[in-house]
Parts: sequence; C-alpha cells; structure tokens
Amino acid sequence: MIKIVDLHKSYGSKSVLKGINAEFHSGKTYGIIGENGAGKTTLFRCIAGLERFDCTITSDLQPLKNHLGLLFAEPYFFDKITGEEYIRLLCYARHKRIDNIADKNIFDLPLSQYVTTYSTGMKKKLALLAVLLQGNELFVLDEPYNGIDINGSIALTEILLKLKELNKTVIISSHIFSTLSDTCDEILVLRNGIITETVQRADFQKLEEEIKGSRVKELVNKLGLK
Amino acid sequence: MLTHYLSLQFKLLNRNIRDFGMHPLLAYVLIFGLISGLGTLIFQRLPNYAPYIIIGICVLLQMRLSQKQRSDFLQIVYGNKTKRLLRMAENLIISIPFVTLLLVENQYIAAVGLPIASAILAFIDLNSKSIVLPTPFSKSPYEFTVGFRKSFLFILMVYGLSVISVCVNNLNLGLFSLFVLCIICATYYGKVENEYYVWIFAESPNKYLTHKILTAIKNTFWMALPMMALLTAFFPENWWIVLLITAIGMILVIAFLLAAYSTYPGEIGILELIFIFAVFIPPFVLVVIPYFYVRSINRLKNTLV
Repeated sequence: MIKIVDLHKSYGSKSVLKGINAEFHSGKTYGIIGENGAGKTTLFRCIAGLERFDCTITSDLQPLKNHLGLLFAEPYFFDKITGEEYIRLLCYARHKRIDNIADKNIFDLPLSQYVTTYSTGMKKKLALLAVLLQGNELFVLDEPYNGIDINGSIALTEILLKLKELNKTVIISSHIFSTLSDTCDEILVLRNGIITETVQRADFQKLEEEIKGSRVKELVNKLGLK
Repeated sequence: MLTHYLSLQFKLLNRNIRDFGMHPLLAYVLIFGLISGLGTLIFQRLPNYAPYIIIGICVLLQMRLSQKQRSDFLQIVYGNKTKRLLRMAENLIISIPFVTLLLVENQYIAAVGLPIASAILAFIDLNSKSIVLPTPFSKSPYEFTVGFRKSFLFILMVYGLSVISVCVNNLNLGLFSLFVLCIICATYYGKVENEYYVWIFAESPNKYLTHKILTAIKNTFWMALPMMALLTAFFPENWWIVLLITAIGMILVIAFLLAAYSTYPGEIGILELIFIFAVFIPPFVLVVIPYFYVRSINRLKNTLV
C-alpha cells in the first residue's frame, strides 16, 4: 500500500500540489484525471521520488522507487541505442536478467533498430514493454495510451487487467475516459493541485457525463465557430 | 536569409559556450590555438601524412552537420536551394582554420582542395540513423554502446594513426593515438544522462558509481587493447610506457565520469574541466578524484536511495 498525506509541491512561488491525500492498494488500478497543468505529472514525479516535496509518502515497498515502473508521457531515449539495448538497460538497472526478448516483444517492435527511427507510438510501446519487463510491483503510467494504435490500445487494456490480477498496483493518467473506465477501480479527480473527488467504479458514468456536460459545451461556444 | 540563419547559429553557439562558463571570444582563441598547435605538431611529426590528417579531421567535423534529419529540417524551412547554400556556408566556415593551417604550411593543393571538398559535402546527407553499427559493448549499458557508435569515425582515425606510427617507426605518434583514444572514451562520460536513467537503478549512490567506474575501466581497456598490443609488439622495449599512457588515460576517463556526476543534474563547467586536467599533475590525482567522488555521491543522493 502507498499512502500520501498532505503532499505539497511548489516550483518557486508557484504552488502545484496543494495538499494531496490518497491511498493506493495492491491489486487495484487507479485513474487520475485532470486538465493539462492540474499537477498529474508532478504528483507522479513525487511518488517516484524525482521531486523534493513536503510530507512523507509511506509504502510497504522499500525503497519504493526500486519497485516502481515509471512511464513518462514523453519517454526520453538516447541516440544510437537499439530497442533491445534499451530494454536490457532498464532490466539491468533493476538486476533483472532477461532472456528471449524476441518472445516478449508482443508489440512486434523492430528491436534491432535504433529507437530514434521509431514512430511516437512505437517509442511509447517500447518504453512500456521495458517497464513491464522490469517486474515491478507498482506502475505509474502517465498517458500510456497516447500515440498508441488501436491494436496496441487493446493489448494495453489487457495488460492493465492482467496486472490487477497479479495483485500489482497501477496508477494511470489518461485523457481518454473510456480507457480509464475499462481498467480502473477508482478515479481521482485532480483540480488545481488537490484531489477534489474520488469516484468509485459504480459512478464512472456519472463522472463522464459530468465532465462532458460541465464546461466543455460552454467553452466550445466561446469559439464562436460559424 | 543566409545571414539570418548564420547569425542565429552563431548566437546559439555563443550561448552554449557561455553556459559552459567561458567567454566566447576566449573559446574561439583557444580553438584556433588548439588547431594550430596540434596541426603544427602533426606537420612536424608526420610531414608526408599531415595534409591528409588535417583534411580528415575537418571533414569529420563537417560530417556532424550532414545528418539527414538536420538536412530535412533545413529543407522544410528554407527549401532545397537555400539549404544547400547554408550547408556550404557552414562547411566553409568550419574549414577556415584548417585551410589557414594548410596555407601556413605551404600545402597549397590541399588548401584549395579542402574548400572544394567542403562544398561537395554540403550536397551529401548522411543517414546514419538507420544503419545499426554493431558494438562489443552492448552487454554493459550504455555509455560505450552509444559513444562507440557516435565516435566510430574518430576511433577509426586514431587506430589508423597508430598503424602509421608503426609504419614510420614513430612511438610518440603511437602513444599520442593511444592517449587520444582514451580521451574519446572519456568524452562518453562528459555529459550526464537524463534523470530517468539514473533513477531507474536500484543501487545506492556508492554502488552506482563504483559500478560505473568499473565498467568504464573495463571498456576503456578493451577499446585500447588492440592498439596496446600493436604498439607493444613493434616497440617491445617500451611496453611500460604504453601501459603508463593507458593507465593515465583511464584516470582521465574516471575523472571525467566523476566530474560529470559531481555537477549532476547540471553540466560539467569550466571549473570541473580545470580540475580534470589537474589529474596530469600526479599529487593532484589524490585530491581531485576523491573530491569529485564525494561531490558525486552527494549529488546522487537526491535520486538514488
């Protein structure tokens, strides 16, 4: 279990997270939604220990970062590194020996080619595959569906369901509501640096309608399209 | 358009030099001094091969600007004709100090040939992205895997130089190539990786650094081994100098590595660079290396547990 109590994070005078409280349990998948700039990525970076922050994040996994598979919305890759070498690097970093990478290449990626020749979706798939092969207990996935094709999205949904079955904890952000409603047990709504709502599965539809109905139409009307 | 582009490039270059902690004017004087000093040395030691070596170094530098991705970008922004003009202008600017050196050394044919070669190179786009160069270092990520591929042509060149040293029976040139090879290895560690690639390691800062240092020593040794064997075979009575130069080169690699992490996540600055070169004065090694090590550990504590 991971417990966050009153998490604050500021960049200079700009306060990004203003008192986050949340608990994440094993075998459950959590969705985080919020507008761009709401603080999702900052929250993920804090959980990963990539940011300094006020409060303590407690976990029964110690140290938490060594059990955490982190997928950034825009993964960074070195020049002149092949897909296979990238996977080996991530597994090597966690002392995980990996054999028969080709068998585990479920996204049919050209692993012997440089990653810089990959498309955006292929890069995302590679980063995801490497994080999965690290054998983590907790997964923090920032926009994992972005850029991925339809088959990849279906496979990713299956992977997330499998992780739940394996009693892993998954925290995921997505701007595509259906991807969250298909996989999550709870959705946390992040607004202006705080979690304003924690929505259980039974109320997902209500939440979706609320999002659709609220300000969206009003904003589109503001454009004055003719 | 040409002036605007070149002045923008000049501005970007100056910005990078300032970020490094040096005044651009001083950097240009140093670069010019380095090229003339090194060039004169090459002409003194290898008068028959020097023009080829000078042209080779210049073309290698120009090739770094000939990447297809860069060329495509210029074409999208400026169109094909202007792109070629820009590329030609860039290559000719790079060739200026080398042409000057050739003129000073009375190598008039080479001095005329180099600008022509530079202009021709502007019409060639190198698509190295798709050709995967096999490397013996793939198993131990990642600096040598990436560095070997990026500096492959330079490695070929210094190996070529060591072969020439044997042909002309010049040990000093061989030792120089060996040392340059170690400097090439050191540059693989000159730039610290993105924070994610430090964070992923399930190691303490101490273990992480120890691991990095051991990998650096091992891979530098494998990289230098063929050259060491060649020089030892042809200059057997000087085997100990070959070993000594390799050892100094390895210390330089370690100094670079630790200097990079001592400023993590920032870049190496001029102060660190001065400290790195202080390792050539023997007593300073005992101060500089531990100093960088302790600073690196403190820097890494924020990312590794």
